[in-house]
Amino acid sequence: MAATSADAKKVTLTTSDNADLTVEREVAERSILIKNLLEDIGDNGDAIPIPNVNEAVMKKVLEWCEQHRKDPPASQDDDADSRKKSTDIDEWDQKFMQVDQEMLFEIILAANYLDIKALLDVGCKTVANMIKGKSPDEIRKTFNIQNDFTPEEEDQIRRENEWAEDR
Amino acid sequence: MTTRSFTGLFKWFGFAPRQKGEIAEMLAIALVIFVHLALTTVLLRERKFRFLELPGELRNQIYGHATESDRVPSVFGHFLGIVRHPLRPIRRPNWQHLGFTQLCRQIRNEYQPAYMSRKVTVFWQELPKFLNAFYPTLESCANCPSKLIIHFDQMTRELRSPEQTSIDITKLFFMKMACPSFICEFWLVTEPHQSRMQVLLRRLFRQAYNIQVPTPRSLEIGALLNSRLCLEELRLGNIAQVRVGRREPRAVSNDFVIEVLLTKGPPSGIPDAYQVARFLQYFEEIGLAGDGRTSAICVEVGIFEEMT
Repeated sequence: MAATSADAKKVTLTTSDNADLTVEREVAERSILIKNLLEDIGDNGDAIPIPNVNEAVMKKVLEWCEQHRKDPPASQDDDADSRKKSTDIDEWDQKFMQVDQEMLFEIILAANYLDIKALLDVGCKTVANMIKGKSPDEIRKTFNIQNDFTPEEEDQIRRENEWAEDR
Repeated sequence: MTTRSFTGLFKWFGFAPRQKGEIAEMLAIALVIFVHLALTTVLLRERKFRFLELPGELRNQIYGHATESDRVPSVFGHFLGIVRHPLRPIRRPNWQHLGFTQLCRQIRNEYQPAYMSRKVTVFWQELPKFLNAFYPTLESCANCPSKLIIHFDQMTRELRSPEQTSIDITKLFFMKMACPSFICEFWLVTEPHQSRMQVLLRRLFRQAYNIQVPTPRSLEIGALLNSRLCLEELRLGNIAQVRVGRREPRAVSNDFVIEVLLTKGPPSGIPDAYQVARFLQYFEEIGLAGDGRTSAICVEVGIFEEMT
């Protein structure tokens, strides 16, 4: 259970599968959850348990945190700003999100749990982009969703699509 | 590969099957193991994004991004000559995430009200198709857009076609009834008679929506003049339809009319003739109906006849 050292300012995170990951405190503090934990428990050198995230996902999340370590901290207005920019994603983030769908799912859950708003935003935008311009059948295949509409509802959907086709 | 060669293979691995039956059994087991491993590998590789297993608030966040990204301006009015200000674009949603509302019942129930609550722009001639597609019943008008902007760019051409002499706008009133914050705007046009149409439709809606007077309890004309007349009368079932079209016969090119069609033998039990007179007086009071002096575009009141 390696700990922090004052000079390197490192912290150790213990993942759900009992892996210890040591990172710089500045990087780890991109997570508001970890930042608050460190402030609450103090810099006593103990490893911080992250019971909801496994090693593979945590490494990926920390890779993102490392890249964005110098970004300004999240503020209350971030939600509104990011909404305005719709589904635009930074080029590095786009490449970062080129992972299999299970990993994308886990990254989104981890970002939510660790309270990393910017990463959560990128994840959600990535999913929104996956849907863009696709037919319902294509999206159903992507998300493994069963079509449970009645014939009447299917008819309504057909009318909606007919209208949208001309747009 | 033959049975003989399989036997050699087993011998090489240290097995010494004595009968062909045993070899067949081992082959069958190997086949089952192989298929199982292959399927597991494929399934693991193709594990889907478990959208419905995301917490609701995260699904909402994804819905939000999808909706916002559909608000991209795709048409610039000044190119089409239908917007006076050269730098003011028409923002038309591009419907790229419409498919997201059509996956399954759960997602449709969660997302469609949010998706349809954005600002929507339609051209006048598209309005019937739009209302028919997304608001097939009066109940569905509750999921109305936050703002519906209707452009009149091709109105003249559309209304000259014999099959569509008038357009039913009753659902716009029901949207307002279901969602008091709903805004319906009639936007810029280039031809003078269309401008008058726009102004009068705006006035009709403003009168219908915005007069803040308590709902009348009596049916006296005086009380109704100061009420949210159209909404209340639609709610009461006294108005059957509100349409916009061209007056017949089409003697004059700018001869437009807003038709308020009353229910025959209305629930209130008031005689039809009295109802027509009551509504005409109201529309004259607000400057939408009357004699020839203002009647290039005006409101006409009639009785709604069911199509047989």
